[in-house]
Amino acid sequence: MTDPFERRVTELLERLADHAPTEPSMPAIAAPLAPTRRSAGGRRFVVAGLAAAAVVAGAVVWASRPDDSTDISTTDPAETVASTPTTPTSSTAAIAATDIAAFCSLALDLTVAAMPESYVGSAAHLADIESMQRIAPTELTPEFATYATFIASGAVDPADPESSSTENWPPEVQQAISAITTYLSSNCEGISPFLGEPIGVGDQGDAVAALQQRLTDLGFDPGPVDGVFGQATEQAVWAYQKLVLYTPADQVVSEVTTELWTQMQQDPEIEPRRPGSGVRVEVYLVRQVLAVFDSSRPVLITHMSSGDGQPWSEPVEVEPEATDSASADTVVEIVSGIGVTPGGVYRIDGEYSAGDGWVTEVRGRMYRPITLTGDLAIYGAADVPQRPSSRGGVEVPMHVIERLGELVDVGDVVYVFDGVQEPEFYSGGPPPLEDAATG
Amino acid sequence: MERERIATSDPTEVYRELFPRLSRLAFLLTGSREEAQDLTQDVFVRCAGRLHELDEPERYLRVAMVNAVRSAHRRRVVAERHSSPSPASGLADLELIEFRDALLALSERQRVAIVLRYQYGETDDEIAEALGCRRSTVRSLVRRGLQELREALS
Repeated sequence: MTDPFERRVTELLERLADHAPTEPSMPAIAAPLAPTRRSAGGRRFVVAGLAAAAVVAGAVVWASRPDDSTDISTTDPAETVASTPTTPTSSTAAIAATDIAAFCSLALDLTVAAMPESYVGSAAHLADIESMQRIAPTELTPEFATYATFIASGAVDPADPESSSTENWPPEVQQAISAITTYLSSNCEGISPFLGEPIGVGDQGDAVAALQQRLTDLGFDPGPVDGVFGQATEQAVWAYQKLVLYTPADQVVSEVTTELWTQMQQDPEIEPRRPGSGVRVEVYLVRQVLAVFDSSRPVLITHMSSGDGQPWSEPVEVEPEATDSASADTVVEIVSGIGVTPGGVYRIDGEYSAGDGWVTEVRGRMYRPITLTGDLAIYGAADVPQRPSSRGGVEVPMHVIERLGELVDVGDVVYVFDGVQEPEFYSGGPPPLEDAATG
Repeated sequence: MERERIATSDPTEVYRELFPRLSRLAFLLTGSREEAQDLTQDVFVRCAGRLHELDEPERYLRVAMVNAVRSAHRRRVVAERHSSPSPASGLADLELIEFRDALLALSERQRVAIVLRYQYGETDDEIAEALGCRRSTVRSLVRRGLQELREALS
């Protein structure tokens, strides 16, 4: 390395890397080190064809977005589904229902299993495809034959990301996988009740109810499971994307596609970043997600909106001071501040739910505010946008603040993570209990 | 470079020992502490079961990290979601901020090649393997990446 600039790059990389996080202890989603599931055969990860098929399906969908594909009609599962009758076809009916159930059950098992690196193209992958192939319905025989033959041919090198990327596989293999995925999403409960049609705000029916139930099971709060896709469901879908899929807060989508639904069938291990006992609230400002944990179990996860970082000012009427008694008029003062939600460790010091629950303060109208030490509040708002938009408080949907109020108590600890420093950096540990009790 | 075996087989200790080292790579490739933490966590979870079987666990983890960063990136791009805000890194040093921005402005493959070469001393062959491309491609990625960094920093 003779070039001085190369040495400078090495040195800058070294210094930059010194700013990398060193703490493993703050994951929002802390999947355990031990595998979550074990197969009867004792393999470390239960993995299989469908996991790949799910991944593959995603890849095929992505690869066939209208703007980057010349071959949409043959590889887009959505298109295929659109032309597939939703009622069982005669060939489907010819298979005993229990066979389909077994096939679906295996498929679902494999979908939710963790896949290690270098799985695709490995012997394990092939074995999993073959075990599905044995019980697959006859109409999928050619597709499984194509898929298994391709993997068995050794064309995919598990260690080579390029060759294990399905985008680089032959079109007939992509089509076979797409057909398998389409079949699964149309015929297997739990894999997708959506029949390929994305659902979104305004939709109603069983698919929406299944979505709401799944979100509820995962700890999100889509409102009542009533089969109606409203604002509460939309916000829960946002929260899922932000927390589990790492989607940036302002880039979440409201539509639930088959692909997203399939991802939701996985069981993410959602753990607090600050493990402990009792009820704790964790606020992730970068993700714009608030989570309530009871010990290490998530009990409520929600979309939220924090301070927008902008200066604000608000005229307020104040009672004249006694010395100003010459004037009977009220005095208008301008109160101003900056809409920042500071990271730190707080305690809940009050809950307000008198009257209709609405409080109007210089920082805005707040529904059932929960106040924290350090002049911070979590409160309900009729509209909780995707971007940080408050004057410093933590806004959550109105139905969420009602549940939050039931879950937490005065004295409970709230951690606010700002993505820059650990909360303790700003305030040390939690404030003493007495402060909260008297605050 | 970093070729030592892992001293212990206790997964928790291995994790504690390797986390900071792997997170450095994630941070250099993403520029975001938050994302680095998530990705490091993620890669460990997927590789945990096999680390003790490997001769070069760190290099294996590096390749896994490169894949994780690239597929996370692909998900974002393909879903047509662009322009994430400049990540919060907590940097106060202006020279470093400038360098980080220049690094993030490189193409993803250039960035991977530059980081693996100048931070980890990997050979063309090793980088080619991590990126799934030819050696000649690696050489041009490194050359053009350096050129762009030089222009951005001058």
